[in-house]
Amino acid sequence: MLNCGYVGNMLFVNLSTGDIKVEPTEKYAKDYIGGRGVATRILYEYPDALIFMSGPLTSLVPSGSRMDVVAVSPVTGLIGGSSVGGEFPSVLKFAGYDGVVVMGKSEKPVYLIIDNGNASVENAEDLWGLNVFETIDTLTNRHPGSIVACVGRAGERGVKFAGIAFSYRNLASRGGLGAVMGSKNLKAVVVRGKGRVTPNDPLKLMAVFEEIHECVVRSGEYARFKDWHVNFMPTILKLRMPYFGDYEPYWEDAWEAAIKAREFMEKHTIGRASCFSCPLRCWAIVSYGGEALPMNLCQGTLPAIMYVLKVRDPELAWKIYRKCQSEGLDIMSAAAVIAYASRLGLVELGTEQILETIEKIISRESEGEILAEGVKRASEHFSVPAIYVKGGLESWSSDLRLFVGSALISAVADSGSVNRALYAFPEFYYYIKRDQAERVAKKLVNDAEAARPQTYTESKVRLAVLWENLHIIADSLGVCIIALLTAPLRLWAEVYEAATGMRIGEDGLMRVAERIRTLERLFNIRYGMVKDELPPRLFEGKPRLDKDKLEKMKKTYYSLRGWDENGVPKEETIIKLGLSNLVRS
Amino acid sequence: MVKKLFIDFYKCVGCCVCEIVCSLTHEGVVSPVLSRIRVVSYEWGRVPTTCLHCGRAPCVEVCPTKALYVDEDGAVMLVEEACVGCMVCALACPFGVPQFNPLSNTMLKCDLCADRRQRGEEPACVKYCPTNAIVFGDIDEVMEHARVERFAGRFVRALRREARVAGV
Repeated sequence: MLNCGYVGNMLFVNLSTGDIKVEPTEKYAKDYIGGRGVATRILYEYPDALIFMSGPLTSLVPSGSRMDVVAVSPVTGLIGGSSVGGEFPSVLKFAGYDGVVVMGKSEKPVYLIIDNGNASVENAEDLWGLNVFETIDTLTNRHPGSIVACVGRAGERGVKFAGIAFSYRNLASRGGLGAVMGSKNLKAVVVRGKGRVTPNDPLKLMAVFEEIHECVVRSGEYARFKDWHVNFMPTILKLRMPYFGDYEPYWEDAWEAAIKAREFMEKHTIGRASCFSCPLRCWAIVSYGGEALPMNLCQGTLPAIMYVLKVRDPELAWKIYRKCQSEGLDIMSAAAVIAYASRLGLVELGTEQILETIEKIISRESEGEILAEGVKRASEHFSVPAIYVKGGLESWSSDLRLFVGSALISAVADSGSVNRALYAFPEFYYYIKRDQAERVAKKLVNDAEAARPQTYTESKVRLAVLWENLHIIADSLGVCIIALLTAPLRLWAEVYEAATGMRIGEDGLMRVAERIRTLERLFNIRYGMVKDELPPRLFEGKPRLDKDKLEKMKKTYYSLRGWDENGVPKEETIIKLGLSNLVRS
Repeated sequence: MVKKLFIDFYKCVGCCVCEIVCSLTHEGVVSPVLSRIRVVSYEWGRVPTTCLHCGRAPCVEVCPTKALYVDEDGAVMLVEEACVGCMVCALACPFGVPQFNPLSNTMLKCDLCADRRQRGEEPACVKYCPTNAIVFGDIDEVMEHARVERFAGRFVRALRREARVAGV
């Protein structure tokens, strides 16, 4: 019986019929751990569902603050997933559920409240039309002590890059999941919980907790995050090669913008904060314009705005950030879409016009109607080629042409692109920490070449597969990938055992990751086969990717996954991974 | 000198690790409501609050069943068997620290990890705090440390920076 680590129950809500039922987590958790794995498995059974799923380590370990949100992405038509932290995932467990599966569609706007085990669907007509901040404030006033996940106007109106906000700061942003929630007429999920999560062996858990904790606070990440709010803009410029405007490799004012942003952050940051259970403190509390707001110091927030939208003025960038965040927009995608619109002459980058364009997208006025559909559909409409990744998802904010590993994953990934597979991939820090990147690559795949951003080696594919597996493990355990990478996998296997009482081992975790990855592929083959392709613009001009060499890497990737040369999982792989019953049903 | 818990609000990032390890240590589960140290939010600030083990503790004085006493280390301790859960201690506490535990119908308060102290270890929240925001020591020690860190450290670092700029 699975009553350790997990709370044991999952909530299934059908908004069409109003039915609410409870299923044991055990049914899915045994073979798929939790989080991303269980959510993928459930989506395979109920493809119209929107699934919020925590992991067995959520709230039990350092950085165990996360849950995975999975649904069919309206942008790509493929499985879409996003990992989210903050307090919501832990509080959901304290409220008595490991996960929530929302099926069907309500006729009228509603919200779901889960209060210490009791769940009910309430009328949300008065909330419809409110932005994220207003919704959170209204609902936390109505239900004191609760945590709110909601969509803003962007999600309500089906903007294809709307995310689901889990607080003023945390957003399950990528893949357009907010549009899924909006299409179900589900405005918010409110949780309040005073329960507990019971580990199998508390003493063992505390012992491993201490070991993991030591790894985290001794890591480069922990040291770097100390002044990260000041340094992140210049560092990302040097390290990650962001693209500028509509995928230009160079912007003469980039360094100036970075330095101005550094000054802005130094002046306006009044504090630092973390998600529940996380030592890493990756949020900055920024006080600006008479208001304090938390911000995630990530490439997809201020850097995406300043570099992609060529905003020199950090105060304008902050206004754009606030606008996107309060409306629940994925900033990475929104920036890509607006940069594309600038190519069409619809907006001038670096100016206040950006704010107007965002408003047009959210309200779907004039050209906003097209832009709200995402960059791929817009490019089809305007017949001007755009850059996107597999299925039409907007590119990650680094220039894919400069990072071959990320280009590979952007072509083959099944549940969102680089964000779901390659955090801290050695090639991403090669430009400032070459020795370390080469050492990691040498250790893991016995080839330092794999760390070099511009090589097309077989070893790099092996490294990418390994990295993707680690992300799947983190997303399934309910742990933040940043922390997971700081401690050896052995410790995570040990802490899983201490929490759940089930022995798994490193190999076991890897095997489950393989199973989940192949199931994601099987889902996409069954429901929305899209070719593993990148748009032609990435292979033209300068810099560019080498198409033939990338094709060869793709084939290597397929064979490492046990798939045939068209990327279809082989029969023997399906049997080996124990997926045959599921696939045949 | 009596050793107590001191919380450095400048360092705390509100991660709630103290709540997790406190409830694990005392109850064997993770549950913020069963934690003796509670992280409270005020606007965007989140800070841990816990028993300050007062020198003249009002809770000890008002407890009608003498369930509260001060041990040899100066910790204000609760004898759960004697506690009737009347909550008078919470009302008397200047900081509202003692909580009611609905599972046992008694009060819940910090005992400075009595078991760990017996083994010569520091309290769990101190041991696990990632930013060392919670420290355990006597007031002179702690304040001396704070003076070095906040006052002298800041001063010396600033001087060095100046010297570097001036090329000294």
